[in-house]
Amino acid sequence: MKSIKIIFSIFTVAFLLLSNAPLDNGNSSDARINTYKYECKQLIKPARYEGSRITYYNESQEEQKKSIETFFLLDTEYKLAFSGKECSTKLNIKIYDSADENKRVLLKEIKSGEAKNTLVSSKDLSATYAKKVTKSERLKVIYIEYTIAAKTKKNEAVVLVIGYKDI
Amino acid sequence: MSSKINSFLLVSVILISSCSSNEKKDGDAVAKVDATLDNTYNSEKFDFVLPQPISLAKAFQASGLTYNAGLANPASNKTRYNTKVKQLLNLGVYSTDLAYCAINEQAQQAREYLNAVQELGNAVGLKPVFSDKKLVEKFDKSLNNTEAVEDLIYDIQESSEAYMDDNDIRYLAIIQFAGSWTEGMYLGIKDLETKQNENLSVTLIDQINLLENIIEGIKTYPTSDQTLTSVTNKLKDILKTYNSLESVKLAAKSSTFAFPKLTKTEISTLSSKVIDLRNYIIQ
Repeated sequence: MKSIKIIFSIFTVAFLLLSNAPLDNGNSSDARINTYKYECKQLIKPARYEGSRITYYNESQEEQKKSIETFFLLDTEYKLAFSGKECSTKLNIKIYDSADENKRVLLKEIKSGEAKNTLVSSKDLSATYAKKVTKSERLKVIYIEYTIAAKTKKNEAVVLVIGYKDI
Repeated sequence: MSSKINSFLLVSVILISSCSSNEKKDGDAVAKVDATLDNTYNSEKFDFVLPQPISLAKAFQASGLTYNAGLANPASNKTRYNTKVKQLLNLGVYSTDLAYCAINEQAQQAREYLNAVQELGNAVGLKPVFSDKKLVEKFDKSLNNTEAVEDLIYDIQESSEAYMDDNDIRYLAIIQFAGSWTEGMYLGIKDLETKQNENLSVTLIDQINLLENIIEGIKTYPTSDQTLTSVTNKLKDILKTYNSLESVKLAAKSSTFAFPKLTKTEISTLSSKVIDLRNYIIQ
């Protein structure tokens, strides 16, 4: 009887060891990023999926800047979903109409994009653009700038998913 | 006796644990197809998201491009493409042709292009995306339903993009996109030859604005390739020609950010460059 108990205990421990075998950090952050990307895809619905970009950054004592350019090729509403859930330090997201620092116009700023998902519509960006820029053309290109605060202790990522209302 | 059994079991458990740990690692190597992350990967300071081929086709359609039978690259040409770069470029060409036919309700032609896309997709290493036999079945079921066909095209594009991202082969997508872009421009320019359409001309200019990123993206292709060098040079030439057009230079100087209105001669100058590139890609 005692042997059976011991055997049972050993198998229980073995089972727990197997079922809880931790994945390494890389794979678990992969899985989380995939989840956040999925959440962003859900957020932009019913928009058609246009594309996505995962921006990775490494641990650093310095502030880091990363940027993404994307296009509103169609004259329709675009949705941009950001996930800062994989960011443990402060994430600032700025959206401009151009990459040129001397003449670009700020269309939107998300001051604390970390630890949450945020949805942005091109309608809002276009409205700001129309107010700030005397231009007959609609907004066709945007330039997204991420500022990741200093003292990032881990390698992390920001997720962006883009979609548009079908025409 | 009992202690011997216990010792045996304890050793077994340790062995099973270590084996399972290795299996997991091996499993992960296989699963890398679905999810890969190099933990130290640091994205470039500047990146971009380009539109999908169907978005290029839809932009042209929205600006008045009409379907012209015989303009797209014949699906039967797919057997010509024997190098990886040619296959990628023409995967892009056929992706645009597929979208062009689908949104113009040319179901039978679209089906032929789907086959071409599948074959070239498999050839360039995207088998998990394109080898699905149900894809053609689904397509056949949706053949007379434009919206369903479009849904399918969006699904293929999304899966293809996800597969390339997960496997760190995004550089394939940019070569494919270069082909898509060229075919879209070619279809637009050929349509513009037959009629006056200011909207179409605006769409052409919009798409030229994607060129810098395409040229930049092609640089990420890991191996040197003669075809790719020629394509890059031709793309650079189109961009240079565009930037040197009087209407474009005037618009750039304008304080009101006026959009360039190309003259017929300027369109013709651009057309010849685009047609030359397209013919080079599909030959």
